[in-house]
Amino acid sequence: MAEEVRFFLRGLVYLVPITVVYWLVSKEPAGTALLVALVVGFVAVIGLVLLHASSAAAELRPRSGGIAGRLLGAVNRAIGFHERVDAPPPLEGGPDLIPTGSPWPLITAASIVVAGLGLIFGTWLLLPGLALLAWALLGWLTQLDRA
Amino acid sequence: MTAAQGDVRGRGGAGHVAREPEGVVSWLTTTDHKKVGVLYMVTAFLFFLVAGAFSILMRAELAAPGLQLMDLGTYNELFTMHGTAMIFFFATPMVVGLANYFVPLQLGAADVAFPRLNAFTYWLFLFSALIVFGGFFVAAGAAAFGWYGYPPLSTATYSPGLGADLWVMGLLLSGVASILGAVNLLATIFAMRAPGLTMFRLPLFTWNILVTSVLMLFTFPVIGAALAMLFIDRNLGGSFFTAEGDPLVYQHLFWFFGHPEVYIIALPFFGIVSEIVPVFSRKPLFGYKAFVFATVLIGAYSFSVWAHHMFTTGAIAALFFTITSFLIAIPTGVKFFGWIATMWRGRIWLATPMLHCLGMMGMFLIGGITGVFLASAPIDYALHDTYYVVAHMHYVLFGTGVFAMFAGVFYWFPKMTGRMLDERLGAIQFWLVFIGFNLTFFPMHQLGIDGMPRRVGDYLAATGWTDLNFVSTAGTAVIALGVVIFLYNFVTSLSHGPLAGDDPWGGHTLEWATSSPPPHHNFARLPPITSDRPVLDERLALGPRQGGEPIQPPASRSQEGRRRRG
Ligand code: HEM
Ligand SMILES: [Cu+2]
Repeated sequence: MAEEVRFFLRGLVYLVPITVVYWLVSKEPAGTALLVALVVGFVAVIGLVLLHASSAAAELRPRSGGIAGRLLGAVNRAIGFHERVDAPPPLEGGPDLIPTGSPWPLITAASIVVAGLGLIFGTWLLLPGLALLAWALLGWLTQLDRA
Repeated sequence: MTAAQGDVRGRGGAGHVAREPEGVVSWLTTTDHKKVGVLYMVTAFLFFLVAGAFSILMRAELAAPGLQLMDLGTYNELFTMHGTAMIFFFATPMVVGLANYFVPLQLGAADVAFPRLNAFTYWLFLFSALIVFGGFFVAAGAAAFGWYGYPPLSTATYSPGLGADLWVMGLLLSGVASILGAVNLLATIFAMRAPGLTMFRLPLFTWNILVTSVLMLFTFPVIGAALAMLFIDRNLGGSFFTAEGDPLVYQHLFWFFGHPEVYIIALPFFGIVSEIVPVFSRKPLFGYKAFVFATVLIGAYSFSVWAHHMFTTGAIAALFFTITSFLIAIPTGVKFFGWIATMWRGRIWLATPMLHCLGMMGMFLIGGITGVFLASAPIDYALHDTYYVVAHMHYVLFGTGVFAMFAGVFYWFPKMTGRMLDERLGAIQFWLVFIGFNLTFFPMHQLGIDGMPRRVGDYLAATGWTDLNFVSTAGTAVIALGVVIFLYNFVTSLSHGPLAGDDPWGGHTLEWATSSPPPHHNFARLPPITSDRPVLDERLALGPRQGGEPIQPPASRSQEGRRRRG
């Protein structure tokens, strides 16, 4: 279902014009760059959802009719407030297997913190931190095979 | 722990095969969203107590002119760490904790989308907070440049100490935790909804968390970039924000995050209020879609107001930011209208959750109005960096972060523990905190208008600011008393509170359709979902009472719950 996509499209209805207006009234590069990055980010998320949810894409695709009708229909489908109540969530599934517990999140977080402190205190701490991190990620990624 | 509590917990664990390890190890290795949520909330509340203790020290110092408790440098450390901890280690993780516990329940899901990632974000948050606090234990002391860390003050030249580096690194890592947490919540809301639970049937708390997650996803990378550049300037010879670079860019980056951050804190608490007001007015929420639309609009607008924190730089498009800031008042007003219309002609039950909601509405309204004043550039020129701003931000942040948090805690404590908090102590606590809060912060408006600057540990008697400062400090003591009563209530109710049953308030949303506390995988069965209030629908269908929902005290209400399931 396409409501998840419309959610971001509606955001763009405000963010795109305001980005243009901001640039025109301020000519200020830092804020404009941030707003542009934000728009790109929204577009990226929309792309991601569409990629994982072909039903959403199908619902949003323009249908037949005259140019104006098609356009209006497309706008309505893109940002209008209506929703099929029978449609499944767009990203079917979720984890097949819910892990009952794992030590790796804690170990991974700890190793990242050690590495981060290493950036302040020096390589004698950074290198062990990175080694720890590698071990933690390996443990994390291989855990489900053993479970 | 007592036998009684063990019994309640045991009930929660019944009915599934895979058991987690017991004891401390189970908390260290847990991936259960409810346990992770509890870890988040308890940790965040502890940091609230720590940051609150800092504020008591600050207020004690300011009670009278002259320096009585500390030197000015220590005062600088205290307000910096108070602000940093309240925003990053209390309010934000409290939101994430509440979302962790209740979003999957409201979705009818068994867990979040990425359970291990979820646990990871908690540990990363905890460790980064400890790094930041570690600044107190190094020679030069903790960071002392204010919670937004503006260069050039925060560069190595003016803040050479190790505490500043720990502050930068800690916030950077906690930002990473926030981004990953947002991804997880977003995926959960999009992918894990029960059959029939469409987007426009999502409970409003979950809707607000959805918008909040989007804000987090797109703003924490920005502050992360700013902090990384600051780190490079400080430690690796960079010059992003030094005299050769541009310190003003840091302000843009910081506030492009900083203003949405205010809504990251406010929106979820609006969501809690939107859950509680209908339940305690015995009416469906007035204008569900208007609430959703207002939430989305607030989120979108909040991306375009950042530089109203930078009016006095004189280097920004002031009119643009004044207008966009005014705009936010409109969807916020829609929410207030919706809450009032929901209460209108409702049969209002003034239990502690509702009481705290009303407190939030009153306080946020005052903070919102002073916010509109400050968004007007000429007024801000006069009041910038005075105590008026301190008053404004606490009406906003305390109204949402504290009053609405307590509303949520009183509302959901029965669901999380199977027991009720004491209503009478809760009401006493509410009035103490409410009165203490206004004593503390209302006088600050006048102090600000009189010209008292923020972030200063001392003032002269000749300024005439002594009396109002004394009132403010006395108010802080009253708040502290209220918080102590809450702690007492919390600890005693955990083991001795009256049993709550599944649905002590007559709730509307799915978390009330499971046991209290919920079992490991949350639901034995789900009611049919054909609206945004499936539990209310089912109760109305099953319980033939004319005139909507019944009002009854918690005890007989849980009987109703038992009969319904039996
Ligand atoms: C518990 C009651 C509280 C008291 C008595 C209190 C008191 C204070 C005081 C006196 C200051 C100003 C210090 C100065 O400018 O010299 C301050 C600053 C601040 N407070 Fe609070 N506060 C409380 C709760 C909160 C809460 C709940 C939040 C946020 C969720 C918060 C966020 C801040 C922030 C962001 C600053 C600015 C720090 C800075 O200037 O860098 N405070 N507080
Ligand atoms: Cu702002």
